[in-house]
Amino acid sequence: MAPVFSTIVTRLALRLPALIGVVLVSFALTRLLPGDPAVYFAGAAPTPEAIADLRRVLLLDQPLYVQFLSYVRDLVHGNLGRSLATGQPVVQDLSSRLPATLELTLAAMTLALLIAVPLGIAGARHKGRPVDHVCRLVSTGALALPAFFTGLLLVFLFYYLLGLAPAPLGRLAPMAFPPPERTGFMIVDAALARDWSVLADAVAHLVLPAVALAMAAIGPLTRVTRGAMLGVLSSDFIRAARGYDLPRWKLVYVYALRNAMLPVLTTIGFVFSFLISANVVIEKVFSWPGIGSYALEALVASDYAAVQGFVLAVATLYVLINIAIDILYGIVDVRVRLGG
Amino acid sequence: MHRRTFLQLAGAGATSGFLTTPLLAQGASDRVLIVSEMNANSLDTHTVGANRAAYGLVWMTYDRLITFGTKTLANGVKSYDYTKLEPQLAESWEFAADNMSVTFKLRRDATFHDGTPVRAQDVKWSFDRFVKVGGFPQRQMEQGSLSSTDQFEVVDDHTFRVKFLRPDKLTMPSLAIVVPSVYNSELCKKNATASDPWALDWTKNNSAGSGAFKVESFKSSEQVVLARFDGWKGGKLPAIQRAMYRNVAAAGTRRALVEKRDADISPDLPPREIADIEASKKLKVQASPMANTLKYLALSTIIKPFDDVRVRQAIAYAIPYQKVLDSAVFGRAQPMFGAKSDTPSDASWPQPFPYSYDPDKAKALLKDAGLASGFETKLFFDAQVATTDEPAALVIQDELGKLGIKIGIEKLPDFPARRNQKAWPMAIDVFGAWFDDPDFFFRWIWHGQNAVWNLSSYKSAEMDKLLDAARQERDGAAYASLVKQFVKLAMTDVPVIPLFQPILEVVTQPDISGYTYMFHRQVDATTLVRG
Repeated sequence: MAPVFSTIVTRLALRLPALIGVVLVSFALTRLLPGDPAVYFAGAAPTPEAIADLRRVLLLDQPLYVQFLSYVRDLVHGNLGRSLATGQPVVQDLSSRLPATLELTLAAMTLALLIAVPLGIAGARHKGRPVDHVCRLVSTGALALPAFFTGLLLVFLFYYLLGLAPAPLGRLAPMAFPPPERTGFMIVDAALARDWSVLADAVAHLVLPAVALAMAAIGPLTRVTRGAMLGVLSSDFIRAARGYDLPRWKLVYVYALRNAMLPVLTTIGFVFSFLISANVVIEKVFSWPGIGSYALEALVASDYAAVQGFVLAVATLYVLINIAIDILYGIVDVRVRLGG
Repeated sequence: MHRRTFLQLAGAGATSGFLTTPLLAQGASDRVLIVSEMNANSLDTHTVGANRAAYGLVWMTYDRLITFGTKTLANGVKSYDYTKLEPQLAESWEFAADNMSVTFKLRRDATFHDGTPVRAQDVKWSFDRFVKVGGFPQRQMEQGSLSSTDQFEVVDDHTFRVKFLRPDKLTMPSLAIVVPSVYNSELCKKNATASDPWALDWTKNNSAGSGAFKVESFKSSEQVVLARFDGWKGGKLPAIQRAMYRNVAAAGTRRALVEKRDADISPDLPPREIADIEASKKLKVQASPMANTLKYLALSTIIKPFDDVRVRQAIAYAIPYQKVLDSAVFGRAQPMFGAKSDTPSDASWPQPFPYSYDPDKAKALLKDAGLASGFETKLFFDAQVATTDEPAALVIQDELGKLGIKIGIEKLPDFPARRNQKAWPMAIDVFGAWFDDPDFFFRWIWHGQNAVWNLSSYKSAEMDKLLDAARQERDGAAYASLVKQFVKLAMTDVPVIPLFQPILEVVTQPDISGYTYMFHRQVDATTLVRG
């Protein structure tokens, strides 16, 4: 386990400059954006004095470098500042909302993989036949639908018309009691608490947003799986394996798939990052209390601390995903040596 | 685009009469679920950045010494009555003979949510607090001449005196707005720290009031669950036992929720959706004009050619008001044009201006001003309210174009922050005042003190004189006469052309009654009745 650990440390160290860059850029960008938080939060009919008061409190009357230094100083102490919109420390906001986003994203990712990988394999194995056309149709169709639209369409069909899905009001029914929080993942927490009715409620609430989000991932994943499998299936070693009369399933799912996994893994990394941004709109449609909807509101209100915190959190998440994918590379493909 | 598609589909679904199975709304006659775009971000309006939803929340969780009465509007919707002050924590009050102070007798039976009796010391602590914490609470109360802790005096446990700084008719109404709520001072002090002597960090997430509802759970900006405080003495005990306020960002989702009866009230649907909902007749739409609020076109009196009053009047005649109303808010607002006479017949505000669409008059006035061939100028508006202001701007651009006035449209994302630059020849803006007195509204827009809202940079010695006199005037008839004079002056000089008075439309389930329009524009669960 030690080499894996040292790899993680070196990778993290290598990514540090990128994170510093993110800190700088997010700080600069929020200041460059139009909008003035002091005016926004000064109330319904702000007097110039009330605005000036707020500027002082928010340090907005200080030169930019002073603001930046104080931001970095806080950052080093693990303090991301306080969100004006929610009135809470940003760290607390993000950590209470991140599990909701991760739960949704992971569910969507799992769903997308369960559909995309078999579909891609089937498409590759039966190239040019009806199943391949279905594969192409599904991937193109899923790519063509914007997440916002899919979300609303699903709500309309399954909630409004058919009444099969629960009201799009977040993770649980409005008056339900949430299980005691352990992991922040509603489904896991409900299972741990053995509260089966809440578990069912949580799953029911997760289905529609997860499907809407998965649609965004199915397209690229199917295409890449199909392409990679096509390449591998026509390669020499598979032909040789066929010559040895190995069972068909072992050939496809063990030897071929393992070799086709590399590009798929890379795509998973991409798609995961993409899903986190797609989350922003899905969370809005389903009132999902994640970090996407949080960031959107913060941006509208020029809530600097919250926006910077969100960007930093997502950047860190990307870095972690990349490291995880790197490590998976090594497991899937022995040619990619750990730490190499 | 997509949203619209969905709504058309949703509309089709609604009219097809599909049977819906309610999840929450039914069988819970003492509960309400209110879904809106904005939810409270603090449990205390004294904290920095507390939003409008927080005002509505504090209104229910805290009490004031006095409160506003209620009246019924012409369309049958109930509304707060600015002119009627009623007891809440104070059971009576008396003005001193010299009219320079007021003494409140507190009710003896009122307690905070934790059972502690409400005493005059709590009132004193709470009032000192809004003076000392600075920012919005302090600035707001300053408007009513309540700006020094020396003004507040505890006479005994149940007697409290407010000394006046100067005669100001806003002082008493100021005591009935959200800011001077009465806090449980002992509880707050227990949670205060050296760096936070007024316990603001604590009250942001904890409630310390005596109001009609207790906070059962609070997730900032996301949801609040309120439970009725059965020991409430500040008014008639609410019929609703639990009220949930829930943030639902997408308007399409909010509409689907109320149409499916999963939510009871949606207070902030866009006009387009309201029009559809009203047509389907399955839900109640409760409309009330937003008190003392106007959407208007401001013309800068310091930028040519609008320094010429004839040009401003020409513009006032060139605007197709009905078309603006229809395209901006689907006709769902109070018209502010077409008054028969250019002399106001009463002292009401807002009231229609004596202009209506008359291109010939506009042409003649422009010719008079030597601008028969037109000119070029720019029109600014706030990108955040583009759904209403953009169509309005386009209609104005189109119509003035016919008179040779070429307008470049500028949509600004940082409009509020740039108001004070006063650099816009034409701008569409909205202003709503906290107090209903006409002179209070005028002070912000027409007074020579040149507040940030005076986008016209309008300055008139006569206007200032009338407004300053009105601020002090306590005699009803004399005040009314002053109002008529300054309204007439605003009509003649037209630095600001009213486009319409926005209305607040709240969609409720048909079995919900008692909705009352409040000055803070949030839904007050205290008044709601189900069934």
